[in-house]
Amino acid sequence: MMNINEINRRIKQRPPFQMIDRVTELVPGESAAGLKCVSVNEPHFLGHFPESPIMPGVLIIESCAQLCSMVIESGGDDGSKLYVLLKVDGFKFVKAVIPGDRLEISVKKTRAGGSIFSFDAEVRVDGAVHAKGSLTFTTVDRDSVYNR
Amino acid sequence: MTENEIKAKLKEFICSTLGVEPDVLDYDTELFGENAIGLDSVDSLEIIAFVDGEYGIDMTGVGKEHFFNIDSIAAYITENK
Repeated sequence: MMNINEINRRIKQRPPFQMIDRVTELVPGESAAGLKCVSVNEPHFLGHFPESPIMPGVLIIESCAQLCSMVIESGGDDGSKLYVLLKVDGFKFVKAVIPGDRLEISVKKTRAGGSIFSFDAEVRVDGAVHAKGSLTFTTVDRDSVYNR
Repeated sequence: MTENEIKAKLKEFICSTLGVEPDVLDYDTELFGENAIGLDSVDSLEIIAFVDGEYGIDMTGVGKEHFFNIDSIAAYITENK
């Protein structure tokens, strides 16, 4: 198991954009399981939606992506490279996620080749599927992102 | 594996994974560019990953003329395997 301090050593995201609170399983290069606890204090709930707080689907995807990044980068970090989200396929938001929910996220690598990595992701709350879909990442040179 | 079998596999991949309809994709159909079937740079990374995974050939950084159509990708694979 990996607590928040250990997670901070692995990923670059920070509050209010840190979407994994605990990692419960990690198989480097293959799969991971992790938790995100959803609180009404998160800033997006101010507007999404007033008086009906629902976690935005894009942030559920981001939660899955951050867990995937730990699977990819668990082998080490090359400072000249960035892992970026390339594609989001077939995501379904089966049930709304609301404050008080604890997301049980699992991701499993399905494909790796060239510079890309694909994962299937599933998000459960109290054991019931709330969202699922696929994510694809690629590596880019950090310099190429900023020197257009 | 013959070059024709490689072409058939490439077409199957492009249709099933990249969402191209089989009846608009021949082996000589232009894949990228204004007069093409609308694949983009993300799709090219998918093709590179497929070729790497399927044939162990890394096409990263290979000239774009080799990505012109299924014929040219298959020819590159045949020459480099």
